[in-house]
Amino acid sequence: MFAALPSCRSRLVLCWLATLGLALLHGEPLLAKATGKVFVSNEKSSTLTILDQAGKVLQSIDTCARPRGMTFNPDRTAIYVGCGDDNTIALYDIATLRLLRRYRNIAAPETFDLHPDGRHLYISNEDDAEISVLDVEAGEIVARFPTGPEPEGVLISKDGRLAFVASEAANLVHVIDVQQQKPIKDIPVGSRPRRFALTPDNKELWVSVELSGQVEIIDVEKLQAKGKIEFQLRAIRRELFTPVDVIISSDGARAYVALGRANHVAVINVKSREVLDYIVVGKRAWGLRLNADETRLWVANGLSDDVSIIDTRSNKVLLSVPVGQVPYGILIDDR
Amino acid sequence: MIDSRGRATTLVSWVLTLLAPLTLARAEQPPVRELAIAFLERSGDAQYQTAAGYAGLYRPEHFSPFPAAELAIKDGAASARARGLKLLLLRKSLTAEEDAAAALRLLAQSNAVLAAIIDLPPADMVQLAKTLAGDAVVLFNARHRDDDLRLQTCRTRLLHTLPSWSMLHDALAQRLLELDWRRIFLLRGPLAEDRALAASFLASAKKFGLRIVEVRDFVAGNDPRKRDQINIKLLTGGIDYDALFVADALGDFARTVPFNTAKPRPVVGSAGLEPSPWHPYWERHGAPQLNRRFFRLVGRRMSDEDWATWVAVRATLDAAVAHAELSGKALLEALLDPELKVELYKGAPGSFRRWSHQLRQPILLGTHDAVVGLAPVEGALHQKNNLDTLGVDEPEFRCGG
Repeated sequence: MFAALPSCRSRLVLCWLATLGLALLHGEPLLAKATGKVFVSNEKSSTLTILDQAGKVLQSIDTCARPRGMTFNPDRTAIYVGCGDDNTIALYDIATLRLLRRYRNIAAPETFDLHPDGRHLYISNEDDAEISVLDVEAGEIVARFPTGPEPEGVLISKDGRLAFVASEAANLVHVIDVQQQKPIKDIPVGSRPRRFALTPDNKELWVSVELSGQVEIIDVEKLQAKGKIEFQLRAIRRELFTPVDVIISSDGARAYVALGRANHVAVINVKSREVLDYIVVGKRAWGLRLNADETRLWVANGLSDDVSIIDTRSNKVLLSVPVGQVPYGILIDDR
Repeated sequence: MIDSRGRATTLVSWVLTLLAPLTLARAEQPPVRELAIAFLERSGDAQYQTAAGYAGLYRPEHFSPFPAAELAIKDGAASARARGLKLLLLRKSLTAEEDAAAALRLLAQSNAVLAAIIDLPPADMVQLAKTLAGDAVVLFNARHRDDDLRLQTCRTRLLHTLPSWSMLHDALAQRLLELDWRRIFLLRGPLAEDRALAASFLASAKKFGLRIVEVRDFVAGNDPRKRDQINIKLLTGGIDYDALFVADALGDFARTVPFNTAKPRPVVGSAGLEPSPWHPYWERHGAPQLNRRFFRLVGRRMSDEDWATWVAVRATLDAAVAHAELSGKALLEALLDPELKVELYKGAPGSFRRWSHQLRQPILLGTHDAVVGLAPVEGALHQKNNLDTLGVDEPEFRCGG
């Protein structure tokens, strides 16, 4: 909801104050003051690179082994980082970058999403064909759901009702009813589904399907596929379109899809599903993140060890910044 | 396995492997249809016999790839269930004298087997494929690399998931070209298999414009009268080249060639840098996950044949879900559909060439502990699909041999 603020195109502090004001009006919990830091998890060098909004590298810290998925805690004072090779989820303080807590014995965590209750982290365990639910306060796994092999993307609807999980090797989207704590549907999709984005009205779930080179659109009410988006660019072979991350702007107008080995990011009109633009970035673009006012799109390029910063008005890359080895995900603490 | 009571006992001896599906609670389930896949082997197959030897003696080990089929069934269970299918795997071990075609026909009748992985020697495989060419069951070769086999069976229902030698050598030639190591010295052994490897590589070298500066023959052994053909320093002396290709099907000689050559030159082919469909250290495109799953289930590394067996099951499942009708005919059609996109864990999706029934796939170029390259290399372009720069393309393929 904060991201929907129309005034957030101004300077950060103003934006933050406005957000805070709105939060107070709506009785939301107070958020920590945003630091403006950008976090990039580097899968192969087992580091986090911390940058400022202009793309200047501020710091790099060693983490547990193979950090990939990241998400904020509810008050945005800390970030959860999944370390696949250490079977660990680590919690880092944003201000000090100190390790606050370590959740051990979580089998090969890849990505996760925090339930809006702020307490339950839904984690894909890629080696165990399983989703586990971590109670972050108690530090205990409170539920497990079997999935197809290689679960990957996890997304919980904003109303907290449904959890979606992609199984890369089974070509399925599993749907878990959070209230009932029960899987309710397996939706067949194309080859190698990866990540999700929901439209702000919660009506459409967009799924990137890597090997099919498509984005599939799922009707959230009916829980079935209802459309596909294909990619096409001269001089790029169809098989190189291997979409991974997908995000939708807070006004629901635009979607961005990282096209993997096609080395581009696609800009899509959500309503018409038309691809408006292709922006050339680094090698194997996969992780994406918009800043709070959505003027900048950050792209993690897995095979060129850098991030690209895109101006979303001109759809041009402003800057490419070297980070660690095999950058995977991005978080921006600016709201 | 077989006794005087004959067939009845053989029937009982069929090992039915039915992997229990994951215990997923599911609200809506479509009606279930069974998709049965057979794994056909012959007990006492020389390929899997442990050679007698003493400690320290080198002998390449071969293991039955059956566990890879089991893993693929397990991996595919959730996907199959969501699409209204139930996967069954039936292992059939033929006795020494048993007729493979008759056994498979019986399986097709009694267990509705639609596809079978054929783990038999080449002559048996060709014969079986030809006998069953008019039947419904789809056959898979996950064991042999010979191009001849593809030529002989292109009108049958046999599909090949393991790459052919021409694909492997084209991949190696592309890599050498990419490195700009164009002057090649070829060393070949005395066996017919060694000669075939050498001929196959020579064709690939010609295709990609490598120059063969010399071909020499080695022999194995210790006979001092043949030392100019045994001693690697003598064998490799007196010429200059960029890389040395060794054609040695058994590999026992080839493994001693690196670091023994007269000039410090890299070795490729049967030792050093080798082209392969799979590698235990392949680290991209989700490969570590498949390698880990295999190791956890089987307790050894996933071999090329294991991988090709896994892919055969996976391709069958993918093709079966693409068609509403579940029959051998529909299955073969779906498998040969150019739009089939089988997950190979090598980046590019897999499909089968209609002309040779060969699985299109990238080829890895690896040493004993690393993958250093992937073919098609950058710049290897084809008018339709870059994967078809590897192996025999449609216009050159002479079906029927």
